[in-house]
Amino acid sequence: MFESLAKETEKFQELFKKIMKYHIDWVPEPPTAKARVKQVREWIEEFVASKTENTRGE
Amino acid sequence: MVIQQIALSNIYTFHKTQTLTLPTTKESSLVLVLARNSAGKTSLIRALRFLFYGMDSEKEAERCVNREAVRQAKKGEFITATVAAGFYVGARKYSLKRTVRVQKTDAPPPKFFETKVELVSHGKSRDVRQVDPDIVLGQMQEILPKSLFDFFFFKGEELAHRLLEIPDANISAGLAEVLCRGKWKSAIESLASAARSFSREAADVKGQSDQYQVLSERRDDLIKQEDKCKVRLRTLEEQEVAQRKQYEKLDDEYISASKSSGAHLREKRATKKQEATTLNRFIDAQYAQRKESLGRSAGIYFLEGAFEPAQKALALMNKKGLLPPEVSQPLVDRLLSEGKCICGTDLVADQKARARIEAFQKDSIEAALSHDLYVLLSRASNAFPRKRKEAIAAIVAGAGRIDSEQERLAQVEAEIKAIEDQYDEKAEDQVKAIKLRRDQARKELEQTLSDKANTAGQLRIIQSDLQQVTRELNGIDHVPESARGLRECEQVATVLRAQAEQCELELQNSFRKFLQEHTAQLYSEVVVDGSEAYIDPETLLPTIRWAGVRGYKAGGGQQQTLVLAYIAALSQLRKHINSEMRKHFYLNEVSEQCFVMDSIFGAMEPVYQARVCAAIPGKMKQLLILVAPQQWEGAVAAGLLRHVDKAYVFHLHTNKIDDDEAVTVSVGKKKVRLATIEKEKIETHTVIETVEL
Repeated sequence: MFESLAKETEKFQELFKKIMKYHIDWVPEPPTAKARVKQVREWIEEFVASKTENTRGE
Repeated sequence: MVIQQIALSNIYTFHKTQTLTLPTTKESSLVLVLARNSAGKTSLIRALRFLFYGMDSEKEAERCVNREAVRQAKKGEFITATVAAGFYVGARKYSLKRTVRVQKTDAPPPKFFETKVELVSHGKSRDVRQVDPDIVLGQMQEILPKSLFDFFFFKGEELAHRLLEIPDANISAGLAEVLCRGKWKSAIESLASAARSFSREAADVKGQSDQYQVLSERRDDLIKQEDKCKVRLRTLEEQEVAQRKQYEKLDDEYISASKSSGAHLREKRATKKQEATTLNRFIDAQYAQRKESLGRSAGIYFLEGAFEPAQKALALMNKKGLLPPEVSQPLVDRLLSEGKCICGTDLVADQKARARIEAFQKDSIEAALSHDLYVLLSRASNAFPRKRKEAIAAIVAGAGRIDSEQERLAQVEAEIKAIEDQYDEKAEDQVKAIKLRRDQARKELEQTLSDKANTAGQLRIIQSDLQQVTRELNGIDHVPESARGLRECEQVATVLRAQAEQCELELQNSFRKFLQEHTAQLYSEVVVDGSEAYIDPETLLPTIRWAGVRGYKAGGGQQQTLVLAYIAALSQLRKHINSEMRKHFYLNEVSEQCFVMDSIFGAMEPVYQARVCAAIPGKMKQLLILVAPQQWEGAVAAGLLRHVDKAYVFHLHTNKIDDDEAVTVSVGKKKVRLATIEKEKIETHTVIETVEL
């Protein structure tokens, strides 16, 4: 199980886990669909930005 | 959820406070409840549902209050119905209590007043109390989703019907809940929405992005061209230096070689020859002039009768051997003896003599140059001073010039000789070859210079274009940055979505496999008629297959066994899912589950009853089996009793009972009373009693 998780980078997997945890493990109230999309977008943007910075850094 | 205690007070059939205590520490425990029909088996499950999730409506709440309690209350009095339970979720203990208050009115049902709920989470240091119904509901949903309630607290025949014959929506919802399908779907949908929104935003700036793309490609292309041009220019410059050097070298070689070439030498010799000829002519002229002077001089001597000095001069010349012997001696003799004959008109008239004299004169030229002769002549000239002086001056002057010209001629002739010595036939061919090479080098150099000029021109054009493109690009630089970022975000969201879908699929497959294995194993422990438990991969619902054919019409035994096997597998699956998910998503732990099973032996043939009684105990942490007396006899009692840890009776108090059902039942050697007919008029109600085993 979760073989596909190993295919991407560690940081990407962290992002994936964070998003899935957010959707699966909410307590006590489930976030609204709008809030979920907003949150997901924010994390993806952060991920891409950090990736770009790293690339520039290199 | 492992239940420690259930307290039922004035709820449904349970009058006053009735308590069920369940073992919690054993690895696996079995609690038996014996109850007649209408004694509260189903009510216990309904009470638990009410406790965990509340009521759907006030009417339902009104109806749940025990009728006997209402009957005993006075008009206008409040009656409180309570269900409370203490349970463990993992290591954490919770206390949950839910109450309904109603007010007795003139006619039933009583009037609803309020409901209350209280959930206390007992922590190590302090307890957390929660009374907000919504928050309590949320927490209970986390502990045990409502849709799963029917799987763990169920009535056998009913669940079999819902699972095997007409799968209802609640069952599907329950399964979806078990598998977190909704949560996965929402995660996948969130990612898809995020990808769509990124895509939309990226599309908004696409126009500018495209322009940027075109310009940036053009810029990259121009930069490449510029680099190429610069490299070409450098190469051409280096080539030019090398070619120029080569040309100059060949030119030097040519000049040097051509100097010693035949043509050059010929030209040079011709010049020198010309010079020599000029000199010879000059010398000849001088000689002619001197001869004339000498002749005139000698003539003067003789004409002037200066025989003696003439004779002496001749004698001296003779003596010195200056006179040629063949020609001069007879002449000298004659001059000495017949000096007169060659004088005056005779001399002129005598052609022979004249020729001799001329010959003499010629021969005496050399002699005339000598000092002695000069002295002699000087002396002789004393007699004719004017003419003599003229002659001497002419001779001396002629002699001096002749001397220098002779010297020069000798030099020129030496030079001509040197030039002729240098002359080499091959040198001319070499010069031609060098000249060819030099001319070729010159052409190449000119070509290089032309290429260089063209390349420099191209470079200027490229650099001008590049400046223009860069200016245009700088104007829109921020847009494609964001477009690129958005596209990348979209890609990341899409990949995440695909991964979530893949993960869900893997989970589904893993869970189906788990369900299949566990259900089939337990089923096959009980049922040995060749049929097998099979989990539909689509619905994940159980079905019985016989010889690979689905929809096999099985009897109650097989059906009930399948339900039990499926429920047990489901319970374990829930733990399995959580252990898998917890590895990655840190889910709240789901603990062992308490099962309450009602009427599982009703439609079961005795042979299956015995096998189920042998197979089921020990499979679950906590199992409470509710059995009607008519099912208790025989195989069930024989098979189950030895596993029972605790036993209760729902003692029914009523005015009238159905005679078909037993009033007492045997538990081991004991007779246990299940119902009492009250004489006074009462509402039917139940009292829970412990059965000593």
